[in-house]
Amino acid sequence: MTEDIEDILVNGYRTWRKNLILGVPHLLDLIASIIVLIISLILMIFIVVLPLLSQITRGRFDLSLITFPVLLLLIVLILVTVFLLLLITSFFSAGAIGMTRRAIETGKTTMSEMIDYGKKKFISLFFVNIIILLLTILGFLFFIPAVIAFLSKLINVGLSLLILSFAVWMLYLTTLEIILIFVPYAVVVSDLGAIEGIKKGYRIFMENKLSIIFLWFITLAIGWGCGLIINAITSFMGILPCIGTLINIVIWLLYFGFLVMVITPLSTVWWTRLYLDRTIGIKNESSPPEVQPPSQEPSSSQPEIYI
Amino acid sequence: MEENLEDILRNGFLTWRKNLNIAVPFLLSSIINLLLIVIFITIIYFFLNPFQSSFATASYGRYSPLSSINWLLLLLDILLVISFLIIMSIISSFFYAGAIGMSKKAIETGKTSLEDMMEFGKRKFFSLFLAQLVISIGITFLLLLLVGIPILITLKVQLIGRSLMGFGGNLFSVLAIIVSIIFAALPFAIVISDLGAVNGLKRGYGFFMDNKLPVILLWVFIRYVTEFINYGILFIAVIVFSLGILFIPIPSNISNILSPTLQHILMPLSIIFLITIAIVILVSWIVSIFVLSPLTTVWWSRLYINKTKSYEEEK
Repeated sequence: MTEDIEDILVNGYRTWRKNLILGVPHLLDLIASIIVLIISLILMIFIVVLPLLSQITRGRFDLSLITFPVLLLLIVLILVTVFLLLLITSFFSAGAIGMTRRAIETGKTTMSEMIDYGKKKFISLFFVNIIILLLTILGFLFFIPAVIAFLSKLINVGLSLLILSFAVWMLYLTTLEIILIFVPYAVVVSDLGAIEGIKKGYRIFMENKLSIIFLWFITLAIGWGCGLIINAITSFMGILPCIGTLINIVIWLLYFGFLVMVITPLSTVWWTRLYLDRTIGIKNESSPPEVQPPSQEPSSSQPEIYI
Repeated sequence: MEENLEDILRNGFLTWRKNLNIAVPFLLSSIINLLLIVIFITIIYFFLNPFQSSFATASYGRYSPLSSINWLLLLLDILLVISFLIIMSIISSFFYAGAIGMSKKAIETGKTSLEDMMEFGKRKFFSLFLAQLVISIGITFLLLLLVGIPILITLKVQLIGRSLMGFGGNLFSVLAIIVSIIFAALPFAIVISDLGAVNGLKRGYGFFMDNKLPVILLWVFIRYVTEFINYGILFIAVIVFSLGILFIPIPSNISNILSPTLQHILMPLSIIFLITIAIVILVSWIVSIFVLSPLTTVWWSRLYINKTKSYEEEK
């Protein structure tokens, strides 16, 4: 029943080719996030920088102008921005995963699918994102021993612990990323709440470590390969004076668009397909998969190759 | 019955676990090559040093580095370097062919011994050496074309030459990766299908063309496994380094740090740094010989055997 990694890549690629619209939610996500960021940046300028500037023009410069209410306002603004960004991402990634699921199962998808899934699942996904954010912040706990050592003037121990805790922190972040990679898919595809989604995502990871790590490596490699090629192209354009820089800016923008419109939806299709395949199973496939007959037999029956 | 990639990885891992002696050829190869390098450096330094006479004349005050180089010795040295490189790659080919033969035996019969290494090594080392020579000549040619020529241009026209050099370097790394993927199965075609150098090159290329996706995927997987194992080694290095810092007499008052005590800190710090690097080199050497090289050899062999078997069955 299960597809192997090659089938997932090939069939996922076909699904994406037939539904180029899958790139749209990622693009909308990016645009909405940029708008929110710009607005909050403008607000910050109004709240903090402008009063300071007016002070400077009057010839007096006093940092005490940043009073407690201003600081509080700033913190609230930053928190609101983070929450808004998380909400936007939750909505559009829920929509993207929902669209992808529909595309895989019926062969076709539309934008209304995105709105449906986005509306239905963005709250759960938002809580998942909050929990992941909190877990990431929790990683700073690793630095507490180092801080204590510094405060008690044990510079040696503090430095040693600082380096060590930085390494542990990196390890923690990487592990978190890979272990929780299926959680959004569990929430949207299996229609679960935040906590159940995290549990399910973790369980599916533990059951399919090899496939997940393999697919993770593949997505990493695609980013790496694209980076290498784009480096070669831009360094070629760098030979031309002036115009080269301009062309390079255009190339970088195009590359960024390519990442958002092609690479991200493609990897979303692969992850969704892997998740579907390892949980519910892929049903109602529009095109008959030619790989079905051989994969019916269990792979353990190979008389000629010993392990 | 064809295995899929995940089965190949899983079963290849089991094959390696049951036949840890596949590490022996890699161990022997690196020890012998290390010995050769030591011998080689000794010979050059003590007997054929082309710069030796220039030091002697310099002390008399008639310093002229170019005229005092012994050109005959330099020529001899270059010949010596080339012949040493050839000897070393022949030795590596012998043991690599042996390792592939061993993993072939291990995959097909479940068990392998060092006799297999000798047998396959003796039989296939020359073909493997020739084929790899062709590939490395090709890569060297690419390197000269893409990086060497821009360096020459840089000597004349700095600005253009430098950006050409950047472009050449980037393009070279892309092409080198492509070549290494296309001919990834080459050694396995030569040893497992028992082919000569030319037929091996053809078969290695043909194998890639028939199995593009699995070859690329296995290559990617091995690349990232290596990378993440290297992160693990880095982690060990960090632990060693941070333990070492505990022994450095850093004054508890930070404002003192720029006073003469700085010297007392720098000395032990660099010693600890050197120890860390030594440990990193040792651990990566051990991991590479005992885990990575044998394991990847088994994986590639298993992929090759699987795909050729199903190919022959189709025929």
